[in-house]
Amino acid sequence: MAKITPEMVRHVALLARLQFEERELANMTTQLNSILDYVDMMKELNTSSVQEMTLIDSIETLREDEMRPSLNRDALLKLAPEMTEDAILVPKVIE
Amino acid sequence: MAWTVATLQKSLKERKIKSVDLMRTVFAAIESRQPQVNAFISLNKVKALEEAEKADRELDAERAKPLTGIPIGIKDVICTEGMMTTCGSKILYNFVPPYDATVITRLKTAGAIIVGKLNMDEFAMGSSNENSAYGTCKNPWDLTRVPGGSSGGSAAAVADRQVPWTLGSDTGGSIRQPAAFCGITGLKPTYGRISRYGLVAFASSLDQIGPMALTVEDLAIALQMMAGKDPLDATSSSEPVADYRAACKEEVKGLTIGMPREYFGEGLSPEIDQAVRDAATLFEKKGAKVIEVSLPHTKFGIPAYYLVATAEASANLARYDGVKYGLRVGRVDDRGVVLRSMYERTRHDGFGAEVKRRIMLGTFALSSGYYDAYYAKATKVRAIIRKDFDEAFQKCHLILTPVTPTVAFPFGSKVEDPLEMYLSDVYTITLNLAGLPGLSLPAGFSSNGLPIGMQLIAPHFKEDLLLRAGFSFQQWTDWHLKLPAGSSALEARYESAKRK
Repeated sequence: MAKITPEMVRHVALLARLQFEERELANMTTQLNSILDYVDMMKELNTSSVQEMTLIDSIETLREDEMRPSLNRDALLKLAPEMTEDAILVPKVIE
Repeated sequence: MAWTVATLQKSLKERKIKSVDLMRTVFAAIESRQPQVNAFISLNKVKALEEAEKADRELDAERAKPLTGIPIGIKDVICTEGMMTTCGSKILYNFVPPYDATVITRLKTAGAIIVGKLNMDEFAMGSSNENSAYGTCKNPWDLTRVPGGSSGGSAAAVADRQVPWTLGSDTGGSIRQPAAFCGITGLKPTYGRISRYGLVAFASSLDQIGPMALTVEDLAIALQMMAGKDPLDATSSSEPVADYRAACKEEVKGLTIGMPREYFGEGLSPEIDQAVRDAATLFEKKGAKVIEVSLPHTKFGIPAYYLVATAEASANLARYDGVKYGLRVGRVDDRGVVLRSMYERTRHDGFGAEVKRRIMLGTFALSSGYYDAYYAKATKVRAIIRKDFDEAFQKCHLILTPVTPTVAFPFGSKVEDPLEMYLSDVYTITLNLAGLPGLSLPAGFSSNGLPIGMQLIAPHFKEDLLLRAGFSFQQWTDWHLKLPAGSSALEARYESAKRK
């Protein structure tokens, strides 16, 4: 029984800023469905009284709020695909 | 005598060899085998030879540090200042980090010299190194088979005797599985033991950097250098760092080793099953106690992992958007390009199929209406799996399991069905979910000559127990010293070069 429809896959692709051609979309739908069918086995476990765990539950201490040098700005700007003297250029935002 | 970091430290200090000659031997090995094995994505030859000369001056003047003059290979997922870091992906094809990862800073401060960046599955997603944008890496034991992944290059380079040790990373088995497939020794430390600053993130609650080498003693040396609290990584632990090298020499007598019945059932190759059981028998002969334990929720590890890891990955990989660094498809002056289409085209062209699949799965698992049934549920299953281990460790000091259900498989044999590839991670992913340390070491060979690895698991921050058991095992056996047929030992290359 299909869990994800091609429509849903298109929606998730939009959320993830990924773009698929029709054939890729069909493949992705099949593969995701197969994986989701498999992960469905988690339903067997009763987890109603279990706490979620992420391992990152104790950030030990925060440092003092004092200014420190960060990464070198010029070195970072040099990595940009398109830039002016002191800004990164991107295509226009509004469609 | 095999060139390991431990023996090289001594030989360099006693000036039996020069760092420059060692470095030339390493690059000769790398360059002669690169066409067949493809372990490396980029090399640092010019700088490495310069640093080797500096190292020799320091060694001559007796001003050397513990790792002065020692070459190391680094998985291309770890940031190295001034050296390309691609993560095996097209989307970072030209990315040169302006900073070093903390582990790199620590290794450099100790005098180590980086020889190059190693091949891997893209963004650490994969178990075969077939997902690299820089070509597949081959298993030195059989060039038609995978070296494992995602730290495929890191494992192959050590197994092929190109470099004595490497760094890999492990999110679901990416150090331990390639170590097993390539017949070498690898360690995934406890979550938080080694800083993740400068490790390009795949799944932030699962990732760890770890060393890969021919011997447990070399892993202890690496761990000593890299372990410890880092102010740049809030998830790194203040847990005190043990004397790992000393821990190697402790006795195995008196340790209880548990074998979980769920890791020895259906789906496990009979030869691997036998090799691990034989190892258990050997531990018993040498004074350890071996018992059966149970990790009842083992089978739920794969679904939990593939939801938690992909969800975290979908967030971590959102930054690859063509804006600030890396590939950009859709330039400012291209017709019809707006910001959103630049994002989509860059990510479409820049990411491989497996990365896209995992981003999609993770995005779905976190999306409104599905979050509770998928991601939240998976984090609860994660807590249950951790509790299984906590309870088992009431009864034993260490847990012994296989690393993989099969030996290294041929290229292309699992690419049709992604789920089949995921299922092969069954014995390794539970440790990442629980944050536990795991050691993968050679335990034998299959009837067709392929390496078999075994896994030792310890409680949190008890790497000393892993090293103790592993070091002893390597005193009693010599699986870890076997050489693949096509490979030449570094010391043999050095000797034959000297004779010329």
